[in-house]
Amino acid sequence: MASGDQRALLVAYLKEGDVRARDRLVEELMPLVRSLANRYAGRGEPTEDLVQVGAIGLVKAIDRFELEKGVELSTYAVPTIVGEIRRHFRDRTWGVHVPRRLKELSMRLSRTRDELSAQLGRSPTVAELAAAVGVDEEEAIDALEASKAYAPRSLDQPYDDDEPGRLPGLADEERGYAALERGSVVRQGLDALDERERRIVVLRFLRGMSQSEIALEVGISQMHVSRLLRRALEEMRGRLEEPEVPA
Amino acid sequence: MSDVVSITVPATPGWGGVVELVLAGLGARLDLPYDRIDELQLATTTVLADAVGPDVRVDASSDTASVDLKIGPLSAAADDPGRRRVLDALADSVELQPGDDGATWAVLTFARGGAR
Repeated sequence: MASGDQRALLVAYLKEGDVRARDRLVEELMPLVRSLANRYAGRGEPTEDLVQVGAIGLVKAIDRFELEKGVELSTYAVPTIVGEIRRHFRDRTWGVHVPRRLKELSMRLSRTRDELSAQLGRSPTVAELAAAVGVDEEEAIDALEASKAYAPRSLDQPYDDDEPGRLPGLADEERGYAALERGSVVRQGLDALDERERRIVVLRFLRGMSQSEIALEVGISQMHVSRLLRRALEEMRGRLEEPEVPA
Repeated sequence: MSDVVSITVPATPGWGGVVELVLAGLGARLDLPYDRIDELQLATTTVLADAVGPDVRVDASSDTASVDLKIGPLSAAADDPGRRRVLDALADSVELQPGDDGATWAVLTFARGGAR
């Protein structure tokens, strides 16, 4: 869309209240939203959720746009869209209240953990993580432990577009379940997990892959692998503690 | 570290987080890689699920090569083969021993290098 057309639509919406003009602008700029959302893909949140959140940012940018500033709408909208996506990560995906400072530090530590692991060829220590982000070790431990309150959502979302609902290589993993002893409480507990959790459990406990290897294989951060493993083991325990219902 | 660090908590859900926090602090003091601390916590939480009350104790000791955790008392479910498989993947050595109290105790050994 030519910038002149965008400006005409902005005038129609902002000066004359034509909501259809705004809808048209949103439609035209959704590829920009998708492109920005894709930059945040693979961090534990479904991309489609990020696109929806980014779209809210776009609508806010259009509503706040000032015609007299003389900038392009797309230029103006980028910081608002990105800000909305970042806020989503910061505020919407934590299971319990965690102070914002700790959430932000936790996210920095998560990124730093992945970066240092790649640089060092091994997992960093707490001291190395703390030094890299410029906090003391106690603060780093606080934030790392607080990150366990993060609640990964939409774990049942398929992430293979070609085969919705199925994960690549899952048949191999399912054969792996058979390796668990019949009647084993863990084998029973696997039923409590969704496909993604089962896959991570199998990669870790049957194939013996490390968290960093799983992170690379599945395309998520090591911190997220840790959370998913933790949640998977919790769900398995929860299922096992449920009383049996008589037939 | 030649001494033993011990923590005793009620053998009821909700106390695992307290034990994990202590282990995180201990792991940081011992300069363990973070993924090692994480797996030490995961293994401990897995064992704690088999604790038989009213309290459960975790004794941590360390030398230059490894960190040992002794956890108990535990129920017989701790010997479940599937659960052992999970623990075997997390720890370098897993032993179930009878304790002085006649109950089962788990002794987990973790090498002080990176996660397995």
